[in-house]
Amino acid sequence: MKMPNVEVGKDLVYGYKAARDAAWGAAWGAAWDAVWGAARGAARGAAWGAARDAAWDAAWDAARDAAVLNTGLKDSASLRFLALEMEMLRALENGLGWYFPMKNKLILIPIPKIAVDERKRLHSLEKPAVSWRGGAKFHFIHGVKFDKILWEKVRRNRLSVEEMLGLKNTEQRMAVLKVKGPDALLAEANAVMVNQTPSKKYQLYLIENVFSQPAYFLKYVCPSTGRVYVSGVEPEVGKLKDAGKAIAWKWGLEKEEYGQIIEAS
Amino acid sequence: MEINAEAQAVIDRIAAVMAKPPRFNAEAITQCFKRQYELLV
Repeated sequence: MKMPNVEVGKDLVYGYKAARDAAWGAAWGAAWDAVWGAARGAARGAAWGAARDAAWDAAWDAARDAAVLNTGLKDSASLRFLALEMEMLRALENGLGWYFPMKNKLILIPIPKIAVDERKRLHSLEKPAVSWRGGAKFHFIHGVKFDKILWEKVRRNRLSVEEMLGLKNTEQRMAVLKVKGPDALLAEANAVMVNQTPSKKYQLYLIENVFSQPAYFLKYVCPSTGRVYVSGVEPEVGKLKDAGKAIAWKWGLEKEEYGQIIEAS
Repeated sequence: MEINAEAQAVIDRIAAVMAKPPRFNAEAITQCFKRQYELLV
């Protein structure tokens, strides 16, 4: 058994693509192709997804090494397995992130440079949060992926209030809000608070002259996460100028149904 | 379940890599795989 040639791939996207291309030539290429057809374009997502979770192949293998060691097994099969996995630990310590063993070659993918926030989520407003030298780069803000153009706008504070509040991706909107700060955002939009619940945890704001028509937004604290949200409210509901009705609408309930929660909050 | 010293040592080594990813050394990694192949055949 001869060890295949080793090739260093520039990033994880390359690794996935090479694995796909190699599979095309294999007997089961058609089966792979069917899956790939459905998942086309997911390679990029898989790349950052894997990096986000730090679920690197090499790290995963090395972790198995620790698990086997903890069993205390000393039989020949276990010792052989340990010796194999110990090599993966050494490879990890030499910067190996992922590997793609294929018929004629072994592709090695380095661990990317990664930047995280205080909660260990992928994040940077200075540079790509995940990047391979000469390879793919991915931009994140507090764990949420952004395309480069949008990320640049956020970090340079060039995203208009309309664009911020109009972001369809809720997670992106939240990440931007965290950077900007909900109060600063509402202030910039000249938002006027028109109503709030007795607990003051749910506040209804009116923003005029930003969108094509007056727009209503609810600012509230999520009871479970403690995160502050600013979320759009249907104009017809907003016009009622009742923060309690607005939060009830948001959860698809009548105000009376939501009342107990409001009162308890 | 307690973690024994050998397992903890490996966990610590993985954690060290996660905390500060090392410089990529293709030659050293290739040698790791070569040793793996030798163990397998």
